[in-house]
Amino acid sequence: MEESQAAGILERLASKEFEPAWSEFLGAYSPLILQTVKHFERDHDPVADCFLFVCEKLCEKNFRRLRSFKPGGAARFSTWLRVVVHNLCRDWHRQEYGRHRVFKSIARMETLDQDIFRCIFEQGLTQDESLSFLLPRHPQLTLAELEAGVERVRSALTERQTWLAGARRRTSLPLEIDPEGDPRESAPELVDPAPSAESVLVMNEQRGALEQALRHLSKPERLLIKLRFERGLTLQETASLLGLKDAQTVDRRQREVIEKLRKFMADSTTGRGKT
Amino acid sequence: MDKNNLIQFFKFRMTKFDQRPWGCLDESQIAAYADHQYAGREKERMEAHLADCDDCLDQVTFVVRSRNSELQESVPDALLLRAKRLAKAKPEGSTVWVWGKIAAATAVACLAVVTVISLRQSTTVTPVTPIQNPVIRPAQTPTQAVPAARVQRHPAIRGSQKSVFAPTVVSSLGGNGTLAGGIEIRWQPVSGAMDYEVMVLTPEGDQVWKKRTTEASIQLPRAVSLKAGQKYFVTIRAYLTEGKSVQSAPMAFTVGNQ
Repeated sequence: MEESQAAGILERLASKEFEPAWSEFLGAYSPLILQTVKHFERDHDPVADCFLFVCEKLCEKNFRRLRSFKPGGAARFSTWLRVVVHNLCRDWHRQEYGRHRVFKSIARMETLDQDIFRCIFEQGLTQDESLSFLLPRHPQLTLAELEAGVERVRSALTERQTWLAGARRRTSLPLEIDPEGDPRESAPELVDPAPSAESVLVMNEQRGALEQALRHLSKPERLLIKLRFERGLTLQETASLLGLKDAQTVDRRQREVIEKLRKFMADSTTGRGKT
Repeated sequence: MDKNNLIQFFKFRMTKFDQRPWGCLDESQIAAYADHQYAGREKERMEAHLADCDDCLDQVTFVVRSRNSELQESVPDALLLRAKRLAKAKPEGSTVWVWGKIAAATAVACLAVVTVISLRQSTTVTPVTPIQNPVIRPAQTPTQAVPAARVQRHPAIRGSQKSVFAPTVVSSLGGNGTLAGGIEIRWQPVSGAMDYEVMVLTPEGDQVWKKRTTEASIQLPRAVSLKAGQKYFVTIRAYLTEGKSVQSAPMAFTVGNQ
């Protein structure tokens, strides 16, 4: 039903009846567009602007984008539309806040200062978090040096650049992550818990080894780990996406991969100790 | 090493969405994959790509998660009306193509004529001066414009193509050196604008003051306290009749000591 309705709308968008067809399209799909927009923006004005930007782009060149959808093809129209709107929202975001490029003043600085810029100004990490994050790459770094680096970076940035870096950060909404499975049943916006100082320290020691271990996984294994722990999909969502039998299968496979990672990291540590 | 370690690892790992590698999936492929339409080697090929491409993986996971959540909100009527108007007065496709072809043909003909003439006359070609950006005229104030509020031009937002006009900040001093007329913000009227939204922001992006007006200038109320010596930004958004809006380039100004 949904597909035939969409096909009908798309057909009429290409005809002289495009105005009522566009109204019908908005009636049916504007909530979906709004939902996607709200993934990028939460404040009222930017939401409205982004929504209109998306609609304008969909209208452009006689609805060229919409008419490029092939009814009867592999994808459902609503799924395809979500992807299209998602990408248009990204375009809007880049247009509004600038493409994510390193400022020239920062690119000229030392690697450490560039890393400090990314941690403090772009990612919004605290100085303690930044120190933990940067220690594996800069083992001699102290808190005092970090503070000095922050000052160097701050003096190299204009107010506008500082604002832009912060604005980019403010518009990226947090992922919901729960390693046990179903985060959204309890909270609509669950931010993962802040790491304790100890766990961050342990993490720093393991980071390099883990990075390497991940590279040694097969691609399906790496995809599974990323879907679960980077993207925060639930066991059920992961099972459904990867075509696995059920959540238990994902859980079992995930444990196997984690064990494999653990073993690889232990082996690499032992290997280093021997040499 | 456990699940929480992995979550923390990925949290601190910085993904880059602007760098799309070769062979990325197009929108139809992303949607079809999310709809479980691939199987066998094709599916394996997709998943091999997704394992290493943050950009495509971001799109797939967004689709999976967003379609699982219900569409609760309807679009506000006013916004929907503006969206509906976007399709109005659109020329028919065939007409556009015809005019497009005519324009292209005319351009080619003109180019040919110019080339022929220039070859025959063998004259030296003077360099074409690029069109300069319009210069903002100094604000014409009924009272004396003074540097109580130092005004600076500021570069437009990187990547933005919307900054078609720029505000000007004007202040005036009284006889005793205080801000007599307060601070006034002016801008060139934008064609087709219904009204303007004026915002004063701190360098951190925090809003100090916001107001909508139909005029092309506005007086900052005295109740708005701006700190002497601190820099602020003014941006103006013009709302146009056809449902669009354009935003000005941000203008920085500093309030001097009164």
